[in-house]
Amino acid sequence: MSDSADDLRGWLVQRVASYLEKDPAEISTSVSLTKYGLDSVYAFVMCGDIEDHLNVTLEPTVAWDYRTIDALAEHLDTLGGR
Amino acid sequence: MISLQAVASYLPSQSVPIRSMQDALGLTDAQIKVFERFYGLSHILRDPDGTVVDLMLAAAGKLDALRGREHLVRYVIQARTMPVIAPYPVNPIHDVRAFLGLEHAEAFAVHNHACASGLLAVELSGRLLAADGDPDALALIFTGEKTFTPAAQTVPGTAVNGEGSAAILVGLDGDRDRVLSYATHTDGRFSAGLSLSDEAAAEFQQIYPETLAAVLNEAVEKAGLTLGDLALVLPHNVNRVSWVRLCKLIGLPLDRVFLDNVPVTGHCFCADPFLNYQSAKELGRLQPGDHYLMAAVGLGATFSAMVFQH
Repeated sequence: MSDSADDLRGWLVQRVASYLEKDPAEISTSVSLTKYGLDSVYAFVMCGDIEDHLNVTLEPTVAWDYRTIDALAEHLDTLGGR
Repeated sequence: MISLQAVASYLPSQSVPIRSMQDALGLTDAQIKVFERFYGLSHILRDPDGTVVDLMLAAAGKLDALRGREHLVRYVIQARTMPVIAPYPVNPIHDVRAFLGLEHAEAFAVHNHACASGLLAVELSGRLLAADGDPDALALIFTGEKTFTPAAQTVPGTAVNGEGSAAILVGLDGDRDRVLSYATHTDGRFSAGLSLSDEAAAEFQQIYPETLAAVLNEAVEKAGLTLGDLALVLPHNVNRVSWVRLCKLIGLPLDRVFLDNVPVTGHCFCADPFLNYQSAKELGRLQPGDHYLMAAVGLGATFSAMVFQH
């Protein structure tokens, strides 16, 4: 994974932790976000935050297509935003 | 063959921004933002001074094909989402039957498929009429409900509900809007409806597109068609993103799904596909001979699809 993807992964961990009101250290990047109880609304909140952060337009289905932070970060890295 | 001999819709004049309902519905800032940005929701329609009887009669008032044929109506059916809508002994569908001078007809409600009960009513009325054997007999179906309690105003995290209504005249014979097939699937694991546990709600979100896709495919196969043969899908108006997800799964172009009403009406219970039929027809989106499909999903959870030829 590139440095950019690592940066994204760290940023996503912070975002997910804030949605779930958990310590970032409790968030594993390889665990399905639904396992943490991230509901569909917050999955879309995350999409909106990603769009704002990376200045990209996402397919709204990314919330379902990429279930873990690792998978999502790798996908976002391929989009080449920022 | 069952056919929709006429459809009429009523859209209340009061348009309410969903943002103005944030406090009343207990929606967070995040939910409102998601509803507007991703779900394609914007406004709903309401008839604040009207009752559910008024909603049904307003749609019936536009059903010109009923005039002079009242004596042929054998069934008056309210297809609704909510099992209880009035205190006993008030019975809105009996009141509507009386107002329309249809006392000779049987009147009852179906709600077992929740928001998919509209398509169930079309199927059921066709079966009843066929069993009766009178080729001229008709059934009159009503869809559309009042958002009279907080629970009736939203599907949490998913939709905001509005008050449009439709009246549908069903007959056994007819050369327009013929029913070619019907497919339905109920998954009882989700029978708790709005009271699902978080785990079950997440499971429902996961199985939703595959299950609806299977029902759509079953319906088009029963009709001897493929998805590519459909000129239009007339969907539920729960939200836009659920259709984006489904279309991606089944390879159906999104512009084949009539989503124009999602930001205008919100989700109007069992009325959505019929409101969309009326709008699509008025916009010239249906041409004679076109094949189209109505789709609905009811909490509980029932997935239904019906294929027609216009």
